[in-house]
Amino acid sequence: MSEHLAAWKRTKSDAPAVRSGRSARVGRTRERRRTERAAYLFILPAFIVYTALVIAPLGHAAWLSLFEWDGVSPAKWVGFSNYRAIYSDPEIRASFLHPLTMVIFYSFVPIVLGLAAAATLARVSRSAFHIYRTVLFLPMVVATVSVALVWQRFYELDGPLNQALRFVGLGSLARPWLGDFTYALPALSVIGTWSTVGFCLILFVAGIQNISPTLYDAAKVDGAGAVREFFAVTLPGLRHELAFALVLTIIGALRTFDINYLLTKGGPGTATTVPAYEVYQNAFALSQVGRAAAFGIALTVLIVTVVSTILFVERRRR
Amino acid sequence: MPGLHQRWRARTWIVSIAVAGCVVLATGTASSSVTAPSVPPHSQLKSKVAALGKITLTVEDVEQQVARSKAYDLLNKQFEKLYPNVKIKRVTKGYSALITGEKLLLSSSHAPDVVQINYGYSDQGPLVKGKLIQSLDPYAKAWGWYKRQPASNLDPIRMTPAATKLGTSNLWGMAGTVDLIGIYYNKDLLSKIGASVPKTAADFATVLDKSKAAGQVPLMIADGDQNATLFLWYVAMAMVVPPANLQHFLLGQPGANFSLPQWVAAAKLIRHWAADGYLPNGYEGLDQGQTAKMFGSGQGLFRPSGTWENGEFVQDLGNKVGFIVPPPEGHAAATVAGPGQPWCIVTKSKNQLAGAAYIDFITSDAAAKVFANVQDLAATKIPAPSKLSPSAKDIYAGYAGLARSGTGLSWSIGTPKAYTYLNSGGQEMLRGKITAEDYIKKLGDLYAEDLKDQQS
Repeated sequence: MSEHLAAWKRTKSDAPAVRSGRSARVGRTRERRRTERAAYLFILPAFIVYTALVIAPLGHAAWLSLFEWDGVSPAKWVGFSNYRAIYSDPEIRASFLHPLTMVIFYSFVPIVLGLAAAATLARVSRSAFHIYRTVLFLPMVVATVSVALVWQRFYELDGPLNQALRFVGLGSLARPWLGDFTYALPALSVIGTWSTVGFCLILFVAGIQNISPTLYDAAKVDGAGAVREFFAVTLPGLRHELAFALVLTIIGALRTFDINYLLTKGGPGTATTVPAYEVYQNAFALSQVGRAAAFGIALTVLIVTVVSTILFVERRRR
Repeated sequence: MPGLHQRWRARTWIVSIAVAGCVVLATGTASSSVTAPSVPPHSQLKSKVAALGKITLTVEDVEQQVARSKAYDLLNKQFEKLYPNVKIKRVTKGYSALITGEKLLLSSSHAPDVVQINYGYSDQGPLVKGKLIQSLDPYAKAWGWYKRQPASNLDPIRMTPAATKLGTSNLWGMAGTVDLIGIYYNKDLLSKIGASVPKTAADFATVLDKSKAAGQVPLMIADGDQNATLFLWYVAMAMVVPPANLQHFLLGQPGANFSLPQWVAAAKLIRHWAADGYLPNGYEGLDQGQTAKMFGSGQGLFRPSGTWENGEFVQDLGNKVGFIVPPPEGHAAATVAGPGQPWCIVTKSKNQLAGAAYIDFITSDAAAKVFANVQDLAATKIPAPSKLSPSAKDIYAGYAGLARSGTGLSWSIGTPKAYTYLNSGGQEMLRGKITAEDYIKKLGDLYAEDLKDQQS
């Protein structure tokens, strides 16, 4: 705002004493254009890199998705038929639907838990806060392969989860979770909850620190308790952080690959296949690069649509 | 500034389309032309390679298993001694890393000279069609390679230059070892239940029942990584389905008749083993590595698997482990006895003659002895070496028996769609999600689709 003001002042002082309103407007427009041109010049290097590394490969993938191509030999034009598999092939269709379950565990549950933890931690002592924050954030920095090995052991028939169930008299629920057609997908998704709740927590704690203390003081003066204070002050104050967390965690859920690949390879049957796994499977195991590219583009479109919707709603509310 | 944004958006698309076009053009360039190599007589091979001067031969493999890896280290040393001007640079990658990146690797400027590949339409096909690997026929004809190994070891690596037919036409690779699928057994556990080694499918069923009744794990294999599905499939099919029928399916050739009742019978057998408690508890969540360790530690009577695990089981169980070819029902014993990962000459290699010399050495009788010393099954037709563990003796005897009866089945991913379903649908059938009849029906349908795809 101040830059615009300075530019306006500069224009005013540089202008001849007698000048028509139209010529003053033209001068301002020229000045603005000069500033814009300089701005674009500054972002040019980043734009070139971004185009070369992101936009061009994306365009290339979109182009490849229209061909039947094994990755080496000349490609054959097939139009949009690679995309048809997404709705005509029940297994591919299922792989695009599985992330819906994952979104619950990768996004909604961690956000709720993160909010609860952030609101609670805001009330504990500083040293306890640091300990809890570190413990909850730790899963974010552990390598995925290690995470997979630990959770594989956790879910085994004789693993800690089933031992705990037997210990509390719920032995009938014990099962090899990752090999169970019904529970394999939720079991994998829970790993997402475990690894993203720390991220949500850190984000929300940072957001709470930006909320003016006077609002909390006012709430206290008005006799609000912890719950009322959370809903009246904390939650509205975290709107931007919530949108940000929602966007990132949903993207994480939709593009997930590593945990599924490492733990179940899409099984049992096709119970845990996801779009990214189908991209990998088609590109490398079946040498159907065009089909893989089509699934990748469809996944990108899905993610962009979901994210745009969230941002649109958030901006409208603002 | 919506107008500006729109203009930029338009420009961005133009730039990206232009860049994408350049990338497409770059990737679409024709691969290097292939000319038939001039092959010297075998007697002159050493002097011709020596005439190449000091060279480094880059060989890339997937042999990470301890025993096989040790064999290749030793073989490379022996090769360097035989050809003193050649220095071997061995690069070993994980199976997935090599197979997934192979097309890029072999078309790049840092392609190795000799490389192991995975045979079948999906992996070998693009490499052949894209002329990234060389046909070995000129060398095989001149140096007598065809006679070194049985057809079951060569056919899966044969393919037409346009990659439309598998199991016939040009030879693109040669393997040093054979991967034979069978059943390991723990001799101590077998004698504990007073049973002898099963010779027929009926004997096998009796021993399994006895083992289960005695509280043992009859079949030590798990399915967290679809391993049980795959190996129980191979074993049950080899036991029940007529070998010629199975062979057509495995190579993706016309002739497999899925209306034969034996296909469904074999599928029901797999389901029976899984449903009626013949596999370890919680087999649905365990993987191949875990059950291999469990079998090596003395748990489990039988272990359906391949000969590549023998070296490790000999280390763990010594003389207490034995090996059988799946005991058959109504036909001669048959099983998959296909090549290990085949070695190929890379088209971009500047040292193709040295590469051919390397494959010549890896598939020689001298190399076979090295493989046998690590208790592995060499691909070359030599009499079984005398210094073998009991299980390795069983393996060599089983392989010789298959050679006599002609029931060593070539294996290749000749039917990519059916093979994918064999695993995913197999898991569903194994857990009773679908019936054996439905499973075999769909497998047959996909096999027919794969055959149709080959024609197009």
